[in-house]
Amino acid sequence: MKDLAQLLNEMRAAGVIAEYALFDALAQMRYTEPVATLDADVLVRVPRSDRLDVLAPIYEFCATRGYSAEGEAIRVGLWPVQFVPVFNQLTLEALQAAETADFEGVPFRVVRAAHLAVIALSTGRAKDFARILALLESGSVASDEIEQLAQRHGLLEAWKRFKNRFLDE
Amino acid sequence: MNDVKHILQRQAAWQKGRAAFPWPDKIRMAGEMREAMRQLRTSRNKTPRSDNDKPAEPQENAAD
Repeated sequence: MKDLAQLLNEMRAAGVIAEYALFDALAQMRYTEPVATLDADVLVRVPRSDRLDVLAPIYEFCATRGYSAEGEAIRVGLWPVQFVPVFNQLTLEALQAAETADFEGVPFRVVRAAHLAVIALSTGRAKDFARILALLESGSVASDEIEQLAQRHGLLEAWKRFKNRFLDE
Repeated sequence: MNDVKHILQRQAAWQKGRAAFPWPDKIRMAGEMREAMRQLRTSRNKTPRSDNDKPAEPQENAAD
């Protein structure tokens, strides 16, 4: 994972990406117990998002560093890494508001707990609901904070349904 | 019954306690879990137990 942090920082310094932040399960684990996951997911903003092959420069940069493609992912050490371009206002905001964590001496940008929770809410699979519950239980985000963020991104109804199903007794 | 409840409570507390581990350690644990899942899937795909038990199709995005 340290390799990935270094690779992403180099990619940003070279102008291949404008910004990045780790999200999904591996980011969640900053706050919760470890969870099973198959890959590392990285949100990216690219300088030219009008290109059809928006990820091509990323794949080319990785190849020059000796990291090869494995299906839709790039293998970095143990982990297949999926690069996900920001695809709506929520993911753009999550990227902009990401924190810089220290990963064994290497700066590593990571999406914050509140945005992780609301991205999970927007996806809405069973494991996403489990992710929200784990984040709430960890105390890394408050229910009110999720509600405000959900409201700002048109997800208030989804949040109310989640609350009725899992939080209201 | 109370014994079982007590064991489950202790197990839950122990699992929650892992949240306090350093993030790099938790990522290493997740890497080990990932490798175990991969090996399990590989072995399941290689060893059908009967004619009616065909190898499972790989499920790439079963967890992410």
